Amino acid sequence: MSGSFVWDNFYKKADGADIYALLGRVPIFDTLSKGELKLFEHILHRRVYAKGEFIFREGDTGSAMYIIEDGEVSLEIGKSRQEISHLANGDFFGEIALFADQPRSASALAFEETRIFGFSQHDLLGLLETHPKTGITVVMKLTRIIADRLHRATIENTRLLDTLIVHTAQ
Amino acid sequence: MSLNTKILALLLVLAIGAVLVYTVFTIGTIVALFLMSLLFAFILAPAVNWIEGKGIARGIAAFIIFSLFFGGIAVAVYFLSPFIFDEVSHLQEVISVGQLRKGIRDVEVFLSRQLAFLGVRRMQVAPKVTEWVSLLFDNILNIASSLAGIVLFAVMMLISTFFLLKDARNLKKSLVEYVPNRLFEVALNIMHKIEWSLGAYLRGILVDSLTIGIVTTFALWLIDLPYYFIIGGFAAMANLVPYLGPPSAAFTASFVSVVTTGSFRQVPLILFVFVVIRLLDDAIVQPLTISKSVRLHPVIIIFALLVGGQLFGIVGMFFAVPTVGVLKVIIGEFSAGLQRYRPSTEQ
Repeated sequence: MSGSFVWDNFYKKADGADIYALLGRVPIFDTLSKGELKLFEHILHRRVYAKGEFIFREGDTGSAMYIIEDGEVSLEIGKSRQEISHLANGDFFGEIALFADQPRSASALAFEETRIFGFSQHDLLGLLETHPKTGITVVMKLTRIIADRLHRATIENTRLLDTLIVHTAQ
Repeated sequence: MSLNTKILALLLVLAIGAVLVYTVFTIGTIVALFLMSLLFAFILAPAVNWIEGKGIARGIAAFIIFSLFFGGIAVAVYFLSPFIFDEVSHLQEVISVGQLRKGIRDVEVFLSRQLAFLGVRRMQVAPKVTEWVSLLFDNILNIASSLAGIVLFAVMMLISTFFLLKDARNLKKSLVEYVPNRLFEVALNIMHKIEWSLGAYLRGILVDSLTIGIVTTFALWLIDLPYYFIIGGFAAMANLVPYLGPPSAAFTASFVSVVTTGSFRQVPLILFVFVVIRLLDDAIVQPLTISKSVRLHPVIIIFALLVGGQLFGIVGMFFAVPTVGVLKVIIGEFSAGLQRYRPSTEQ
């Protein structure tokens, strides 16, 4: 069927090799085989955001996680829009929305024209249903990353609390 | 969101609705074909997912479930059709030899006697009813005569159902590509909720109707009603239309009883059987099959049935509840999304 405009578009694969190379660099997927990455690719939605366009806003009820394919994303909090993180190719964000129906804790906006892949909680649950082994590998990786972030946040909290106690005592 | 924006959004929804209704009227058969395929794809998708979860490729999983389901239907039709045709032709014969006229005349006499105090003397119902029934049989014959069209429709429907089952994920991805960025997550939520609630409703009502059909056939056989098999089948199909279906099955059973026996003797027992089946359905079967799938107020369901029936007849009545269920999900998610919406870029 190659050469046919209709069929080429109907069965188009979005730069397959590039996607697998990109996904393979993302910590969540680095242990997945190419076959497993191919399964995961089925649930990814490619989006393009203009410079300054919000991907989601602080307080929104989120349901999707995003991986940056090409571009930069700024994570900001508060009315003053203080930047708390600046992400680039291969970075991911919004992963908490996959596990909890909580409002987004920060806003995400495209720092320049940015291409990202998004997938929702429901997409992941679908993958867990049809390909449990791959789904569980991804969920375990995500859980480890979140646990690691929580651990680092707890250490940082303790350090800040100690500093506060010292300052109060002085 | 300002009042103007709300009015504009409402006008937009109304305009889209008008275009949809016009389109459905214009290309009715194609829409019906697509809706039927979609309906079967929704019903069978979890079974395909389950087989795919066992490590079998999606295409093969779709083929296995597709073959089992439609093959099962084909086998059932093959073995049951001679019996059904026999009962239908016998019933037609009974009605055409004048027993129908006699039966209705008996009913008229009975009612005239009971309602004499109101001044009712002669009702002249028999000619009208026999005319309706002969029209019904004519329609059945017309349907049978357009068998070639039905076969073509069925083949097209089977092909599109198979591809919907196999490629549903890719189609979903292609649809999402056209959604604006600010509605991306809303669209994913809508699709998931529609998949979940509609699939659950359709599978539930199918199991519910099958159960009702079997129980009704058995109960009518027990009370020795003639043509219990086709009436049981009719009860199963009528059950697909909430609220209005079950009473029409009870009416049909009573009607057949009066026409074939020429008396009202069996009618109270038939009504009792249908009331008991209805209660069992409400108390046991429905909570296990269709509860929690499409939560709609009864008034909305009845209104939807009336609109569906007015626009597309029986088919419209069947699709009324799923359609309103889908609209409820879309409106709910969009209103939540629009409440959160602010301009997509800020300086």
